[in-house]
Formats: sequence, structure tokens, C-alpha cells
Amino acid sequence: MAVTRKPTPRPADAALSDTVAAEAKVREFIERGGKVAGEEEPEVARKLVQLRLPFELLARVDRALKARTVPPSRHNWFLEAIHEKLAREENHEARERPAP
Amino acid sequence: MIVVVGGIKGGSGKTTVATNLAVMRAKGADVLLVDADDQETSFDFTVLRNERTENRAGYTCIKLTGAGLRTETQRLAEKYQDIIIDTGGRDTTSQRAALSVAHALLVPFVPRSFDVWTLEKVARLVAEVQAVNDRLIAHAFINRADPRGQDNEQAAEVIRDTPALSFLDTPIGNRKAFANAGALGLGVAELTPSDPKATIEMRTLFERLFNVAPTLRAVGSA
Repeated sequence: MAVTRKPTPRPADAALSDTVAAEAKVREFIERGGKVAGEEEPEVARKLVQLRLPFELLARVDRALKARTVPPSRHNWFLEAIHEKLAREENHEARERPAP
Repeated sequence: MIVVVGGIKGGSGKTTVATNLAVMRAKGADVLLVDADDQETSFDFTVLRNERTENRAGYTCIKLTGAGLRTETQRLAEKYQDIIIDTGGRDTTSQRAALSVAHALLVPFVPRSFDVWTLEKVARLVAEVQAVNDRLIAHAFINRADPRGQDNEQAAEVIRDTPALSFLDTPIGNRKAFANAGALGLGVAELTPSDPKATIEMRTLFERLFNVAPTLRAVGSA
């Protein structure tokens, strides 16, 4: 039989996926702490960028932060936003690209 | 039980509390003391204790820092009945990794404004931890309490008003006996000549934390 139905995840698969998601949350929580002596700093070079925002836009960001159960720092919120937009645009570009 | 002696303020007596709890608990359980503080004082204390007791510290002490503390503690929890983790006075990856697997957080507070001002940040950290580790219970108590005056009660009142922390009314006084005992690699209850008040205060905190039956009675006011 060449055509089969889409497999239904078994409870064990769902549980594993929950565990992986929970571990990712824990890792994110731990990484928010300050580094300790001897801990490796990421080797990525970073550039300081100034961001000029209208007060109202910044106030909206702060409202969005406050709405979160565990609010990240503003800096981390901006990083999340940048990553989300990049991922969206990169996916869009990949879909639009003609097949080779 | 995995207990983290933590907080985000230095000088609150975390190491003194952690080492004394390890010494007391080791009388009846297999205990691992994890030194997660860069200063490594718990580890040094244990080295001295082993030197003075022919390797009979009574518990095992290891140094562990960084995010890996989580997985290592999870692994070691199968081998020990109790793990006591001494963290430094900062919000570090070590402290967070420890909290992510702990059953209890014990935060000593010195009855001073600068210390009490960190309560809000500690409460925020507890809320963050409980989002990933819902079994964690956070306790706070007054450490290095004044022998007299209003400051102990005023600090206690502020802690009681912080819902994230359960207040243990088991103050420990600012007593020289703790420093004297530490300098000899001893728990305060092992010191000769003994300081009965210091011993009872530490014992009372220990009994409350580990939920063991009281064995000593007060011998007068502090």
C-alpha cells in the first residue's frame, strides 16, 4: 500500500515533545542568570547599535513586556522580535524562490 | 530533598548556614554539599573539616558551577538522600540551574535596609523559577539578627508581606560562635566550649527546614 494515513502521535511521543519543550524553557530560565567565573562566554562578536524609538512605541513595548507572566528584559524582547521577523522573512523568501 | 541556600545579596551568611545544615543533616542522612559559589568557601571549610577529623567530615562536598549544575544535580540526587547547594550572592546561571531542580530555597536576610531592598528581586526570581519548577518552596528567615532593637521585627514584617516567600520565624543571631566554629571546620553545635543559644537557633532552623522533630528546648531569650 503506497498511501497511508497521517500517523497519530502516540502518547509517548507527545510526552517526549512536552519534555523537550519544558527543558528548553528551563534552559532559557537558567541562561537569564549572570555568568560565573570560568563559564564560557559566547564567542560571537557583537556590535552596539543605537535605537531611536518614539515614546509611544516604547510604551507599547513595555506594555507587551508587562503582559508576559515572566517578563524578559527590554533587550531580550527586542532580540526576540528581531529573530521572529528574520525567521518570517527568510521563510517567505524561501517559499518565493523558484524551484531549481 | 534538594535545598538551595541562596539569594542575591552577599554577606547574608549563606555559606555558614549551608555548612551548618550539612553538618547537622549528615548525622542521620547521606548528604552532598554542593559549593556553587566562586569563592568556594564551603569547599574550603570541608577540606579543613576533613583534615581535622581524619576524613570524617560526614558528608561529601563538591564544586559545581554554571548551567551544568542542573544535570549533575539531577544525576547525583539518585545517590544522596539530601543535597544542599550553597550559591553565591548573585543571580547567576549556577543559582538558576540549582533552583530549577530544587525542592526548597532558603534565603537568609540580614535585618538591614540594603538586604531587605533585594526582597522584590528575590520574589521575582522565585516567580521565574516556579514557572519551570513548580515544586519549589521558597523560605526566608532573619540571619545575623541583632541582640536587641526593632530591626529584626521590622525586617520580618517586610518578609511576611512578600507572598512569594514563606517566612520561617527561626532567627539566627549574629554570634561569634559561628565564625569560631567555621574557623575550626566545625558546625556550631560541635564547638567546645559550646554556645547553647547559637546551637539551638541553628537546630531550630534545621528542624523546620527538614521537618524533623524538635530535639532541643530554648535555654533563655537571645
